[in-house]
Amino acid sequence: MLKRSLFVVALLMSVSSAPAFADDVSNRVDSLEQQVHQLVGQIEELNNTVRQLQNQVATQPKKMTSVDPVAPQALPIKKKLVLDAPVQATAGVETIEETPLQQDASQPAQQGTIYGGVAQPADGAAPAPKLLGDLNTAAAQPQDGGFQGQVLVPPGGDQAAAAPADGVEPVSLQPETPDDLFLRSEKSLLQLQYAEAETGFKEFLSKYPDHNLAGSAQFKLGETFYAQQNYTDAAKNYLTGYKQYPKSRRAPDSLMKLGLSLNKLGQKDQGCAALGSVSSEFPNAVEAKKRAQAEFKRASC
Amino acid sequence: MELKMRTLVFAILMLIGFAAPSAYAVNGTVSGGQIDPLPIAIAPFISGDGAGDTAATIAGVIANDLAHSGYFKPLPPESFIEQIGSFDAAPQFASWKQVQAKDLVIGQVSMAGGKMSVAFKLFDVNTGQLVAGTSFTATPKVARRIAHKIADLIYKSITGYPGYFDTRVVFVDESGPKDKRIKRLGIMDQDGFGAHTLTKGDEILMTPRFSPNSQEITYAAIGTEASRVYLFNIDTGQKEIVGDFPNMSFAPRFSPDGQKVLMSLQSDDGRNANIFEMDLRSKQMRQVTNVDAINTAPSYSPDGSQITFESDRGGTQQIYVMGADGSNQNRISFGKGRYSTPVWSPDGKWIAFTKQGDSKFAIGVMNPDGSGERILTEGFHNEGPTWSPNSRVVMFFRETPGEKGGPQLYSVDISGYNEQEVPTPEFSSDPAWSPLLN
Amino acid sequence: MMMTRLAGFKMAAICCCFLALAACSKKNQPDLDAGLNGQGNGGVDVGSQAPGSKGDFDKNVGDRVFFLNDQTSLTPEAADTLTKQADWLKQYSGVSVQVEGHADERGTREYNISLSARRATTVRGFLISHGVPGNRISSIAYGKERPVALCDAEQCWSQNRRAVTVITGGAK
Repeated sequence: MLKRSLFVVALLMSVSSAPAFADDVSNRVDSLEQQVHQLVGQIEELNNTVRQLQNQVATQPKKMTSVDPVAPQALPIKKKLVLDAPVQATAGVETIEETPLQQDASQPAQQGTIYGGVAQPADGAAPAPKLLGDLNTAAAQPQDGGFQGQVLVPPGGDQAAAAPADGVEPVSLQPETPDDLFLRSEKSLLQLQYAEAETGFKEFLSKYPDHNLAGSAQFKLGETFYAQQNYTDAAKNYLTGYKQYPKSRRAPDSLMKLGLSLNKLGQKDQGCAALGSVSSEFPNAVEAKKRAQAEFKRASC
Repeated sequence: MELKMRTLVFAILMLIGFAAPSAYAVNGTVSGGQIDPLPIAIAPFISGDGAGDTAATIAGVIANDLAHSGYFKPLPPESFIEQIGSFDAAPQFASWKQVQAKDLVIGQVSMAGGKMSVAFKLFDVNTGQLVAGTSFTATPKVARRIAHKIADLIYKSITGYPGYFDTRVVFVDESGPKDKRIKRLGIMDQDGFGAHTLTKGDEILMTPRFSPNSQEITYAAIGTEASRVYLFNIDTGQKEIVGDFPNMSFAPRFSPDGQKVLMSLQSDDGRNANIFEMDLRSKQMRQVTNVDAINTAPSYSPDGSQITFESDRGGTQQIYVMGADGSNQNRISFGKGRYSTPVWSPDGKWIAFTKQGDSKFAIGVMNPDGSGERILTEGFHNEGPTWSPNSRVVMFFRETPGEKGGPQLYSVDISGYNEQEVPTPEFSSDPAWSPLLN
Repeated sequence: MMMTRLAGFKMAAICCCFLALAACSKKNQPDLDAGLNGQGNGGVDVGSQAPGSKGDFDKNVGDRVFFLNDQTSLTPEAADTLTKQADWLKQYSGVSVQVEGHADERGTREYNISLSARRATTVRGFLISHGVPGNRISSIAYGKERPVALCDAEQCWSQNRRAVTVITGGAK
């Protein structure tokens, strides 16, 4: 495609007149090449515009419907005894020609740089560290490359000890709680998966409009749009958060961000008014007040 | 569009600066670039005879790693109530709750027969549950590396992302006046420790890149003649030219399997540069692009199936993606400005780049199809991004203006949050992050 | 249809190109002159440099030419200087030179290497096409690695976007 475009362009160029300045051959080649490049650029941009239009047409009907469910394991909650070992050991780690750590007296000094040593035999001479419960050294050893890494298992030896290798969380058979849904949506926002975050927070608000996290969910929904520079939808949701959940701990934040969104939209009067009213509306919201005051100044309200 | 980019940066900054404590942020949760660092207590490690200094070093390195990630807030040890005296007894969690710790790290270090044993445990303070724990045995020399490994385990246990602390960075160490800069190959731990140079500075050294096994570097250098691509062995200090080409070669980068090096070669007529690949074993050269333009800065996707690169075939530098065989060369950058130095993230999800426009140089990321562009930092001159092995952090260099100005290394979270300078002894540029060390 | 569209683009592109260049040239004129180290007012110092010497070449001919931002084409001023260089090199046929290509600091490292190589190539090509044997001219590209003017403003960057003809042997 590109080649053909170039060809067409080159044909066109050959009938155009030579550049006016400097009659040198190499200079003429240079100018010609430059013009070809500019045309290629324009074709690329045109193609891109067409592609975008096609995509818009193609995706519009099913917008927002193809959200992958977020696996519960993906939550940033604490995992038990998860080591990289199983993954890393299979990743084709090169045999590294290095001096074993034990023989470092003979190793030339590397000016403070430290290298990992070759793997010690599993039955290495070092005194075994004190262990609690089961061992999982076999899996840990290859990745530690010379360190005798040993996994210490919880004193109680709970179910986590049963599945350390694959790091799978105990799967809950219970339906997703409101808290889980909120956390999952918040996690999506963290990972910049805005579509998932939006769907999640909306689901939360429709299912649990009276939950004590609803105000927070409403605020976070606003944040989801704000992060995408969709300040109109951000402002709408902040406004809802502020009006419908005045007792929520996120209400002051909602008002403050409403002000910022309005400023972004060029509605400076209203934006500044919103920022200015944070301290009177929420005299106890220390953080939001501070922030609003700073923003009030920064926007030269 | 330009305005949009600027507001995007601003929007991200907004979200970041806005860090009210949240009851639901107990796990260091980040929301939309906003982050509530997790308060974590790292109790002074219990130390046996002669291990006191090492124990303090290890605990310090762990705290420093975790704090620098932006996801943790190590609490000041002065505030601690309980003195951990036994590695085996259960801590008094109530006293750790009282100092606001959500998690607690305890550890012990002992020396015996020239060997060092280090063990740590990570507890959830609320539940009292043991979350992670590992013991290591090694020589005292690698104390800092063990500390980084422990920090990686803590980071992974709590955030779910792989760690990136037990890594190194190569860079170009720059000294001397701006018009006669001496450029040496530099290397250091990820946290800036142990920085030293590996070459003498008799060539203008550029764009060093790690091999996947972290033992070799490829770089370009201008000596008395044209720019050449070299392989440099960190252990032996040996270097060799990659291919003996009549024309200059530059912008090298390893393939994911470490067996090949991509690079640009200037054309015979000197007017253009195309991308070639050298098989390091067979020494066979393969031409990947063949377009009359400057095609350079190639970077493989982690699965080796695609290559991203920059080209000015469209009049200005823009980013393209193609199959590894050179097929389907498609431009992916369409924002306002020039895009260059694309680098594929290790997880395959992002391409980091340098963007020039409005007399500013920005560092940003976009999806490999060109969508979802986000600017992470912008200013007078930012250039040359490189990825942490867990694809969460981007390091780059920033030039300060003026005759006395020079480049420094910085890192920033992929959310745009937590930008910080990476300390180096002198001016430094062209950073490249190693994979996790073995 | 395709032809018409492309033709339209071509016209637009060429117009843009020329307009931009014209504007740039005008703006840069004083800077170019400032950087040209005596080129154009050659009468002043002639006597102090032995004809055929490096000093003669550098001072009286002018050892360098300058380029517009992100451009590798020769400006009319550059072509003048290079014509003089070619004449001088033809006169002193034992002299060999290396053309150094350079870029300013306002670009990325890899690209600037190639851009500066293009500049060196353009200059070398000009000298050859004006009668200097190619085997007397080598070239090298320095990218943005060796600026000569160190301020951070266009007046310095314009001096750094240069190709310098360095005498490597045979001069008096």
